[in-house]
Amino acid sequence: MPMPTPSATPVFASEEEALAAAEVAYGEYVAVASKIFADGGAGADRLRAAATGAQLEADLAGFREVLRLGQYSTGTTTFERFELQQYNPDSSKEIVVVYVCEDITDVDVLDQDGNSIVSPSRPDLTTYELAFDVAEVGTRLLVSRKEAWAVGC
Amino acid sequence: MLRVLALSSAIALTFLLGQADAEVCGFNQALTNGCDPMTVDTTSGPTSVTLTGTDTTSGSGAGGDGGDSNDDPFADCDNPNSETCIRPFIGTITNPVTLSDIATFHPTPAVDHSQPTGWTIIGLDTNFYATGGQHIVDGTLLGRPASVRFTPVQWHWYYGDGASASHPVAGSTWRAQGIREFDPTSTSHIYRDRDTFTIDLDVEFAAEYRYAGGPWVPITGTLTIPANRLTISVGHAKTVLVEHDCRRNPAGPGC
Repeated sequence: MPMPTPSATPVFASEEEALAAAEVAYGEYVAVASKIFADGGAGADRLRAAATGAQLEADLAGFREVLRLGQYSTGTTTFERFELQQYNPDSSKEIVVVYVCEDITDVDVLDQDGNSIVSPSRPDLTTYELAFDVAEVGTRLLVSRKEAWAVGC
Repeated sequence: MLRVLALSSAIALTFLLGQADAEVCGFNQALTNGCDPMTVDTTSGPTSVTLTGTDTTSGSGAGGDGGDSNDDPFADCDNPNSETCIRPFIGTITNPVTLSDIATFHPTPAVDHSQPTGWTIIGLDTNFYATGGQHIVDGTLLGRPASVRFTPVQWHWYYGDGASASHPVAGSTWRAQGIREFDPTSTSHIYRDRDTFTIDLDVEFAAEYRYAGGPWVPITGTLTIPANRLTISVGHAKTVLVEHDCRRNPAGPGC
């Protein structure tokens, strides 16, 4: 009697719910990562609560370098226009993939002497593709991949 | 044949670059230097294969290479049937730009969708549609700032069950077409087996280029760019709970 078998327990009831959860999760990721960068890369393990996989590895490696070089950031990263690209309810990896427009106009990165080291070619507005995994415990989303999709939004 | 060769090399290169660029963007990297986009990258690197310095003529093309004298070491170019004419570039582009010239301009891949998403029912129409339309990419063409306009013209779906279809339209949602769920659309597909299938979509883009303020000039050929891959579970629907029978609710599922 093969019947359509529902997946174990759908994490989200709808695409809208998945998108909303991704937005909350990314907000936490940006908040924690910004705090770590403002602290000069100290306490980077805090990011484990918001990121995972390749993204976590890349961020931790980046923050180790930040700490070694005595860099820190100021200003606020903002983002808007969350758009759903994919929702894969049967997968815990990359369960949600979205596009986001991120604005870092207000953000500066300084070296240990307080001089800005921001590249003149750094774009202030970037569209990213973000992928989220489901945390092993609970139903929280963690950022697993953040890739630049296009300069500008 | 030159043009065909140029076309296939452009496609191969596009894939190669797309894969090489796929990397996660570290938080500090984004804030300090920025991360290179997966698609168009006009800031970094020797990824260019533009023909700066060499002008390749394909014999049958428009535009003149007139004024050649007989002692031209590239006399092949005077033969209208020549497919091997290569001459030094002299500053003005009079010969057709080919797809290989615009290999550094990457069209944004289309995004494939299905209705329903992730699952469907044997024997009923699954509606596939793509988003992503005409768009313009700025960059450098033969050493000068230029824009390339990509227009999707053909959508090739590979449904994973051995079937495939090519459509001149991207399709759209059932709602946008004002029809009911599981109604046939011009881009829908019916699965006959219970299984999980992966669906691939290739989109063919036509390309045009222009230099600042100039008119759009079409480029011969099309570029085929893969979209995202979808996975769909196909199952039977032997039992469906509905609110009313078909007489009371003729618009209900399965009626």
